[in-house]
Amino acid sequence: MRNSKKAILVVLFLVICLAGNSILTFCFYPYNYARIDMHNIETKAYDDIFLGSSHGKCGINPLVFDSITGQKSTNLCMGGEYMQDVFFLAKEAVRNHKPQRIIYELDPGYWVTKPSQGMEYTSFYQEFPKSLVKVQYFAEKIMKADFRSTLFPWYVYRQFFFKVLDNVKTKTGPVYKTYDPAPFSNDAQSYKPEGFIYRNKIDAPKTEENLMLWNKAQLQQDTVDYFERLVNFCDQKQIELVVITTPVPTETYQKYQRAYDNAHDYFTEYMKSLKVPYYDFNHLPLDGFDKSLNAYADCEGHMYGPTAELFTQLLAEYLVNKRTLF
Amino acid sequence: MEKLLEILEDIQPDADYATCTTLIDDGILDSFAILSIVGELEEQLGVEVSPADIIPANFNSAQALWDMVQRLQG
Amino acid sequence: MSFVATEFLLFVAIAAAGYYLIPKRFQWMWLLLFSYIYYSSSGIKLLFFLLFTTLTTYGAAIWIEQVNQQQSDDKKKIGKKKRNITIIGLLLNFGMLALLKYVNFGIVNINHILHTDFTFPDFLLPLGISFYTFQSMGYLLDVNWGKCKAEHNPFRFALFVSFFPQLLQGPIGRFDRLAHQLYTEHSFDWERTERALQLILWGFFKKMVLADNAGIFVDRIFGNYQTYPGLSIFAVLLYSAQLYGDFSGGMDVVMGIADLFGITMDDNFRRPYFARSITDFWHRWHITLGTWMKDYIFYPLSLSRPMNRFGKFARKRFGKNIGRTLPICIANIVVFLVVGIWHGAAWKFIVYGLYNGLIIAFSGLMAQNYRKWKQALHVNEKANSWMVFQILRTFLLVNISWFFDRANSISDAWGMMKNALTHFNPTELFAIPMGESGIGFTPVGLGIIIFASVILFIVSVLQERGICVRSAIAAKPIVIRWAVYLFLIFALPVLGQPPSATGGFIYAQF
Repeated sequence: MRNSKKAILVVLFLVICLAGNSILTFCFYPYNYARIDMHNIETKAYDDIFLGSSHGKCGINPLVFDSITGQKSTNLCMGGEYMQDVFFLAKEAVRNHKPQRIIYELDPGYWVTKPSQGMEYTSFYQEFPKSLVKVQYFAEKIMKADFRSTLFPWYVYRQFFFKVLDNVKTKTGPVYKTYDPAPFSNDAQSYKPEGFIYRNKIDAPKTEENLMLWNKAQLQQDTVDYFERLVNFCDQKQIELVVITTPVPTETYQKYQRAYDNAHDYFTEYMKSLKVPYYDFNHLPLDGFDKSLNAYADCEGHMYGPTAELFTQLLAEYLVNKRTLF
Repeated sequence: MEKLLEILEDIQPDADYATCTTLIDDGILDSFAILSIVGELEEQLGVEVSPADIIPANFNSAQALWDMVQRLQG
Repeated sequence: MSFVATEFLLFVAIAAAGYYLIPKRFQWMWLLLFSYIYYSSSGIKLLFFLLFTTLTTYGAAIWIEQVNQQQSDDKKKIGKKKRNITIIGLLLNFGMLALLKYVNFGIVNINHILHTDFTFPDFLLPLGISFYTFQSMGYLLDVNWGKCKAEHNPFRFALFVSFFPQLLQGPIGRFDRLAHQLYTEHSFDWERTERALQLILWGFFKKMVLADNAGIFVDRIFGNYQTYPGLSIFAVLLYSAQLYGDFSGGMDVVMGIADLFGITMDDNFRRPYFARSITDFWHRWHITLGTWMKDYIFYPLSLSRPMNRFGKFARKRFGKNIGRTLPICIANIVVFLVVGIWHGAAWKFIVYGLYNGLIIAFSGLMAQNYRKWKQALHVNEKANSWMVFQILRTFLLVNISWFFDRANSISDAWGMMKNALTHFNPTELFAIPMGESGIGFTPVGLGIIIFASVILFIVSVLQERGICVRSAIAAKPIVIRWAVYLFLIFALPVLGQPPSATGGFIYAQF
């Protein structure tokens, strides 16, 4: 009798915890554009998929790309998307509809740092539908995370208590259910079709705040492992894999030239050894492209909208013509 | 036994060596005091104490100490 | 596996659940299996080091016992043989530890002095090597001295070396207290499980709410102390909070996990900041390291023949009082040098160790004088005011030692201490961003640190008075109990800091 009473109390306590947690997740976890991105690859078929960092998110407009290639593409890049995420996004995309080509936007800074378990850590994972890929993603990423990231996914947003009402309104309204990108448009930027973030030219200081420089001594083995798994995966599934690095502002390049050149040398060599085509746009000619800080929203390399669209055009021309790299 | 009490009083006065049985457990004798006592035992009573003998059972009371001394004197 | 990783919680849950579902006679094997799974998760190749220590120690202990059982009238010869086997065991294992942890430091210094250019490959430190090596060597010495019998079952012995909760940060256990607990059969007990879970939760609270938040400021200030000259005092106080929250929190998690299996580990913390002297501090802080040093270095060294001879010389030269205390002081300084080195291969740790050793040695030499002065000044040692004075004085001395422990170098430590005396500007604290949340949340962060410190202080005072806080809470009505648990559980995400790339427990690096 006593044992079963204890058991009931334990279960009741857990139920209270779970209920409280669900409410907190609903209230605090915001509507994220990762939801829209994932919805895209769950419901539509693409020939090209872009994966990578926020440089890619702000630097590549799939519609412009398609206008030149004649194919269909989407931008699944995101700030905080490390190699592990790239790999699982690729797997998930293939699970729905196998693309012809994956274009990975490589930011060397992501190869020498570890992801911080902040707001972006579980963004994509939360939007994955249930599947074996999600289970594997969970086992390899979420299990290794701080248990709060796993059990209390709302906690990285806990300081945004003033947004709770908005969150609830959004999630119970049509915006959420119809994957409306309207909430992601403001003075500074807007979310365009197929996952492109268009940065507006606003009057804001251009900082180096999140600049992560290449440093071979800090190369993360995890990243290398996941990249090679991606290469093998694409090979197995007969998907073309192309790697690019978006150009940084000239001023930044000149200030840290050694680091950028070292990165260039390393990755050129490395991609060659894996027979993966690599386009480092810090070193390739871009006709009519303004690489000065005027064209960028910050020093680390997020392009303004018009810059990005021109870059996308030039990128597409490179890939269509397969201009010689070496 | 008197000699022993003299030694104890000299190294750590103000303790009740007649009745106290928790000299170690209550922290009345710390490791410095213990070693000082051992040093005096060697110097004055010719007793060789080894590290294995330094256990609370042998130091918790003056009587226990005396028993140990007698044992080691052979 | 990091203690804060989700997979670790799952690992413990499965280990504990399975422990009580399998037949009791297999329980210790289950623990051994899970301990090795845990160890392998840090890298299969590193198992080599764990096995190396396990097998060499096991073998040496059995050999010593065999030698001991030999029929021989020559006790001295047997004793010498046993000692030699022990020395081999010690050299192999401490040698391995030294090789992996300290050779690079030695080489850097040799190069500096001799202007040479030696290099040595950088080895990855096997998980918990400082802890399991010390624990195993303690066992070997105990067998040599006849304090415990050698373990004949190699698998049982392997469990003693590898028991997973204590691998990462201790406590350093003793064979005679730990082994039989590991090998006996345990039945499931609701109350014990509840207590264990509460302890684990409390440990995470200390780590995540107090230590991690304090850590943000500590890392920032110690990392750029010249930028924050007015904050040296705060830096070291916050480090006091961080180190205590992190280490004792980690210990609570360890002990709670062991408790889940019915195994009681030795206490490692006993409200150290209430210590009345540095000696007392080391009876309350990292207790098992202190007692290990005492039993295996301090006493043997003090009672060794060379030290005896020195003692005789000192008595003749300096008189009875200093003469008998001086050898003890020297042994004490050696012990603390080792404690310092144990913390890491850097000069600042040597200074840290020496600082502690010299203070204790000095107070040992002055003990009789202190007694006389206190009598002359009519100091009432039992008065509260005297007790408070002692506590504050010790806290100050400990904080000075923290400068050497945490600063990046000895010169940084000096620089910060100078700043502590010449600059004081708390407003500089508000220039430090609260991690990802930014500067706006810095006051909130500081508030959380103060809040958690107050809770910790109240709990500590109650415990120092002998009140078992857990029992007190368990005795309250269910609504209050659950309110406390829910508060602690949700405090971890709400008041804690998301881990940075360098998250994890501080002592897990040893």
